[in-house]
Amino acid sequence: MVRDSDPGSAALSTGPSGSALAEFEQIYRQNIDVVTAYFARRCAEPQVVADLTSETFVRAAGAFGSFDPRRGTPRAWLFGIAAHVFAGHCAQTANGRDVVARLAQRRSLDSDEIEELAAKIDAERAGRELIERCSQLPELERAAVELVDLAGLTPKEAAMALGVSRVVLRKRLSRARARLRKEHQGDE
Amino acid sequence: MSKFEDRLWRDLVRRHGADLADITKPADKRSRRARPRLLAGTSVALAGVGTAAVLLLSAASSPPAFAVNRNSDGTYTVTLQKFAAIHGANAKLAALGIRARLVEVTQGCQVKALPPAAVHAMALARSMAGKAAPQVATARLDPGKIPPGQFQVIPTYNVAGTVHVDKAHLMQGQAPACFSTVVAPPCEVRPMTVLRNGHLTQLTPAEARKRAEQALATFRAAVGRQHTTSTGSGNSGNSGNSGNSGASTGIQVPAPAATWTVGCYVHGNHPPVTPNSGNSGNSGTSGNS
Repeated sequence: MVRDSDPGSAALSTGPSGSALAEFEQIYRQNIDVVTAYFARRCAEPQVVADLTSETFVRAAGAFGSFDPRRGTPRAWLFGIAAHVFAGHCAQTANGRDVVARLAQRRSLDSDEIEELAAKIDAERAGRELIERCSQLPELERAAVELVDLAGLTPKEAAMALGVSRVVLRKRLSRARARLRKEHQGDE
Repeated sequence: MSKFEDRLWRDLVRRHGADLADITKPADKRSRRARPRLLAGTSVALAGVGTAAVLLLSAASSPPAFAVNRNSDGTYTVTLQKFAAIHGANAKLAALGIRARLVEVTQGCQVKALPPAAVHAMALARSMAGKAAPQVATARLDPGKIPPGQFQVIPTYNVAGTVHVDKAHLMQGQAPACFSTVVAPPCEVRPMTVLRNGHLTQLTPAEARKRAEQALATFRAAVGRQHTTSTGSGNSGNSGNSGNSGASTGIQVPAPAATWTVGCYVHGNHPPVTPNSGNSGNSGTSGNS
């Protein structure tokens, strides 16, 4: 018969409705793919993508009690956390501390997981190229293009994730798109 | 989900499941303060209800709630104030890694796994319905006494708006989503006759068990899907109003071919902890849940 000694799988199978755990599980399932893709566009190493994705959800789980859906969607909230996680990762890398930090937190991947994440990284190649093309843009514009045009967030969600107003987001997005268009026409 | 995503979710539940189960979202914050408080001395065991027990709570406590508290001897006390809180309590048990679940007893359910004593207790509880409300039910569990591969299940039912829990018993494999109100047969594997190569042939017990387990897995998957879609998002609502009529799930899934191993319970050598009567005094104080 089916065994269930693992609390994780128990929670998955039980599917309690209405509890925060069930709510968080739903958010996890709906967003794990886009959050992984977010990091896959930035990092070419499966282990780093796994670590950053994991870190994002660990922080989200820890802060879920303070998440207020009236202030924004779960996806926007998660992308806000992901952006902080990635910024922290960049800062650590710049300081040369990232190897130590990653080894301390690393969850070892098996070959199947590495393969899955490598496929994800590969699938995000086009997105990564677009981000590289955006490298000349100011940071906020770059982030706006990515969240709206690549990650599929609405401008409202992206504004929340980036901590700016919707008006500012729309202006920056419009400006970034115009610049990219111009640059693209120049290439041709 | 991919393997990476599944593993990551399990890690998250392992690390944060208990914290998440404790969270009350902003919309519910008003009810956060009023978790179930068992007031020693105000509880009255419902004498004569076999192994079932119901504790009266002071009328001051109102919100829908549950509590899973660890006692000093390593056992856990599960407290239910409303029938709807069953999902929250189960989530907490899952997060704590305890292989025990509160299982709704509903008339429409296909899983016939109630011991005869439980059915008798339920009938008695029904006959005594309408005494007082609101009420709280408690059950005591000892995770250390649940053998590997088995689940401790606590039949939970609603009688005239009052939540009742019955004596826990052990079941093989996972806990079902619900129990039928019908008495279960004992858990023994009997030979089953099948048509094989044009002849009626008796399966060996091993073959019979394998077939039954396959049927059970299919059945549970169907129940799980149905349960997920039928319960929706809310966890409150119809808790205290409808007796034991099975309104909470209304599951319409085909019964597995070999219900005799699905609907069975384990007697005997593994004494399930519980009767839940009268020991409520400590649960309001321990509370590390």
